[in-house]
Amino acid sequence: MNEDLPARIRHAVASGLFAQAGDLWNEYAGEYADELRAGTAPPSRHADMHELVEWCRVATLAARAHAQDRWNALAASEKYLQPAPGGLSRIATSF
Amino acid sequence: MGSISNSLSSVTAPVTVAGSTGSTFMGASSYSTDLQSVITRAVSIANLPIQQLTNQQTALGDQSKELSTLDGLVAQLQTAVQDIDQAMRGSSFTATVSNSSLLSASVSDGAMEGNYSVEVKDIGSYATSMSAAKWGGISGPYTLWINGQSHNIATSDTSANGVAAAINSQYGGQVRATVVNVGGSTPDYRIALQATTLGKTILDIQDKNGASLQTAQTADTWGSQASYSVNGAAPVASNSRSVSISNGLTVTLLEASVGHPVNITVTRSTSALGNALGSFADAYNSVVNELSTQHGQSAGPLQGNPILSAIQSTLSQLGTYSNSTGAVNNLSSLGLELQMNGQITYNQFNLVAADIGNSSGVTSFLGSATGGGFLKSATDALNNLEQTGTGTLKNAEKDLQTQITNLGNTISTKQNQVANLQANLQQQMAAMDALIASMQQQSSYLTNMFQAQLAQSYAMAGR
Repeated sequence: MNEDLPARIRHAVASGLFAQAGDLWNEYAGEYADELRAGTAPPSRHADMHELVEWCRVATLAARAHAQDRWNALAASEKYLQPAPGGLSRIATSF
Repeated sequence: MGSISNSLSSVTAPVTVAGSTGSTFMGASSYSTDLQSVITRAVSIANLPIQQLTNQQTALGDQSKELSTLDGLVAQLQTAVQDIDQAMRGSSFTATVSNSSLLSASVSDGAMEGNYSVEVKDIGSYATSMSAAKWGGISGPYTLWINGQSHNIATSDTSANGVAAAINSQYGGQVRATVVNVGGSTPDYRIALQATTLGKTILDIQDKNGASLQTAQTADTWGSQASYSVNGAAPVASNSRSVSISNGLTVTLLEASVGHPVNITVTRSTSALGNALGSFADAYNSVVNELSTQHGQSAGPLQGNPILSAIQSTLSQLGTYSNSTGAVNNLSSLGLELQMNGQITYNQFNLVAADIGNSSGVTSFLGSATGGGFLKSATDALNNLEQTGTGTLKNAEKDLQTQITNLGNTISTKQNQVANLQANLQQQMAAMDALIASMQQQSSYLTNMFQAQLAQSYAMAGR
């Protein structure tokens, strides 16, 4: 097992690189499965995996919530959108 | 408050992930339905300003269309004013001559009504010259002499026809040459010269040795100027029988009438002016009617636009124009009555009465497009609206078109931004969902494996 994988997965999630996090997770899950099959998984591995999954789930949900907040702010700005630039000309006459 | 551009541009880095197509999020986790609703809401919010801008663009398009309609009507009014000006010019004047066998008269722009007395003292004559002998046998080159000035006749054809043609071609502005057969059945071709203007002109053709080939001129063939007098004034000499005796009045002297002056009466046709004023009233009312559709309830798209005031001001200037001097001092004197509703009614009988009673007053009041009076005031006022480059109405149309173009560009830009935002958002959401789904699925699988192995370990330990 590449022991720095959990840290890299967390870093990718924290950076918003969810696709990269998914690739690293697949690598981690594969290696853990190999360990299980070989009977070489350390006793703490399963608890660590659960802890990692839960951390990633919460962090990802938090990221989605932030995205939603950003759009809520966008919605507010749209409601107060100013008219297009270059209003009608002021026409002066001197008849 | 953040601007739309800043908000939109904050999502820039696309995230590559499988599981999404088009605008529908196809994630597989238990969160996919919720994520899809977030995407839909976000896209619809981002589209709000585009809809707003599109509505604005439609409104500007309606304004532009209405402005174009008004522009056309004001242009028609401008044409109507020009037609009044034209009706006051030569085309509506008529010259009546008391004896048309003695002279004829024609009028053009600048003519004035009036009576003229013209006495034709002499209609003058053109100088002429004929070859002294049958043309031929004398080699060139030849020289044409006009009042002592020599002119080479450049031609290789030394026949009478050839020389005459060369003279006409090279000096036709001063003298005309023709070939005359004076021999009857035995041809005797000679060259006859005639000056193109009245008055004494010495004409000659000489051979290469300077010998004259023409008959010597006499007082009868020298030519003489025409002479005439206007309204009993001193006689005037002229090199032409067509003479201008006043601005826009030209007479052609046909026959001498010493002691018998010919009377010329120049009058202006009321009907031409009447028709022009009628067209003016129609054009004026068309603008008034169109303007009225932009005010009040169910007003048109230009409601509140300052251009309406500018046009209304111009109409007022035209409709209420007055001249403090003279009996004919406002449009009402000509039968154009400004009504309470802003329209003008036209009564041609008033014009006829004014024109008969005080024709010069009508002329003075109307003036001309460049000289003064109503026509200059109206022309200037309408030019202030219609002049390309400086006219208020033209500039308003141009500004509106610029706004529409700019708005179109803005909408296009925002549509692109929203499209990019949509794509990036879908990719990011899909990546989040894919990660969670993958973790859920594989952690379950691993937990099962772990528990199976644990159970196996317990079994082996118990054995």
